[in-house]
Amino acid sequence: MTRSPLYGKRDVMFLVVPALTFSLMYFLYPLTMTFYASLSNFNEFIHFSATPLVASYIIHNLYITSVAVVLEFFFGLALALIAAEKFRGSSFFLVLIVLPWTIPDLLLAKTWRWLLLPRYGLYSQVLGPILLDPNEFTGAVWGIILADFWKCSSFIALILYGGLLGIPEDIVNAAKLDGAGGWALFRWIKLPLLKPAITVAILFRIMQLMSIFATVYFLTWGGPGNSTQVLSTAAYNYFFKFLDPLKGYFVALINVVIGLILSIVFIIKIRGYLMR
Amino acid sequence: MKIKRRDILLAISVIITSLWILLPIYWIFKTSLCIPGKEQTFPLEYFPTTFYYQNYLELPKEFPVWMGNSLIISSISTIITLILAINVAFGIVYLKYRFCIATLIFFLITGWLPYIGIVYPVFIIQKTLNLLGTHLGLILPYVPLGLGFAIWILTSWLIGTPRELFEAAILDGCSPIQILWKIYVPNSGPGLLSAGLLLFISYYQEYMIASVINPTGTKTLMVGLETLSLGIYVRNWAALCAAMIYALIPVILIVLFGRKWIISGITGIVKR
Repeated sequence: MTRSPLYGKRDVMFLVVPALTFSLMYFLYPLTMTFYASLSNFNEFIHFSATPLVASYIIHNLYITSVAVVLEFFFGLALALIAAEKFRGSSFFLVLIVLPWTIPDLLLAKTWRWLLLPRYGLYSQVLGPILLDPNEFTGAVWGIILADFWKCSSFIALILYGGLLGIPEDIVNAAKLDGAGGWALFRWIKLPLLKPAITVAILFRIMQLMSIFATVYFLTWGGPGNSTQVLSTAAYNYFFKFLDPLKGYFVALINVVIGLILSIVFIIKIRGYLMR
Repeated sequence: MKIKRRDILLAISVIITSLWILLPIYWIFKTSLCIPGKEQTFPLEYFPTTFYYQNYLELPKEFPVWMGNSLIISSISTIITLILAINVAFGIVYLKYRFCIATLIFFLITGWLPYIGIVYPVFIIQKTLNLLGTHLGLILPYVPLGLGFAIWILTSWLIGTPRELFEAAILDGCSPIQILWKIYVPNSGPGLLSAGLLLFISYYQEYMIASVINPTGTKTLMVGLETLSLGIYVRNWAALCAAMIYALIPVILIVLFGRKWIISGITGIVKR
């Protein structure tokens, strides 16, 4: 890599070190403490991680993540395709797409708790026969998925909308001249060109969903029982409710390691953009 | 004829998706106008039958303080994060030093890892520094959490800025820091605004760390709302909904006036 002789290490230090200091003090150091606390009790950590309880946290996380990502992707794609059409009021429609993603998680969870309240909630009365009982595992999990779906489809929609806007018009026009109809245009022109945006959107959502906290914590409190407890809510409870920091560290470490693996996958996938 | 059918389909899908998005917010608003204790009806009432606006007036008197705390903490954290992030992003994009990609990856990952991995150690650190229950106690850990996302957005913004300016100014003998703050920052309004708005939203909604650092003292709005819904509002959905509408006001204002920048921020992630 070539370095211009007109600036040097001092300039780089000046730009990067202040931010790095913050990150070292309030991110890397705490993270090291989490690693240290767990790994210095390695035997206990292994023992505890192998319990069915911990496995159930991971399974709930995976369940919510996989279902929600698939649903959000298809709805987000639909929203993006609608928003990319030019129609009267399309700028207002964009406001509507942005809105859910900016709603704070806590308010989201309270709102959906109210909407899904058994017997009296809006959705339980309208969809009564279809809707599952929120006092059971499937009902509670689907409540979480529904709330997250409402909020985060918007995020996928916005990323894909950006991708759609980035498709050069000549390509679309050329395909139209060649006689491509709506579906062919979408399947063979737009979808392949959207692929980078789709990768970013889905991987980013997977990362966020694997560390989901407030939506679960305020919608079901991990309940009924422990049946919707995910890693971060469980760790939070161990830390601050049961005052058992060691178990909290164990669960938190599992969550961090999953996050690290996903981050590395993500970096590898988008390295083409990063290296530019 | 084909075009017409397409228009109808588009109109129907726009209406259905708009309803799906707006219904929960409308329902909160509708509930906030009910008389407390009468918000649960069977069968449903789709439109407000009462106009009990007292819900909006009879808020607990700490509520404005919480709102103030939230706004202060979120804005100060946003400003600090932006200043630090534009420096790093500028270094990564323009100086291209040996470890610039490593720096970028490090900061990106700090923004992606789950907060639960740091929340308890941060609590211990703030306790030893005697910062529990203060604004500063929350701002300090917030800044590195937002840095990753801010640097991500700002690098994509800076990649799109003209490099010639930088090279010309360097030859004239300016230092990179001068160039950044005299040339690039004044012209980076849109990039800074989109990063800033997204940061503000994420700080405003943060609950996990806020609940630990400031469980009492300078409570943020989210923590305050949670104590309300466990305390005096436990069965009072009408009043809770009114409080939630207040809490939504900053967010809705941001969406209405900052839509353009939020969208360009999020879509900028992919474009680069």
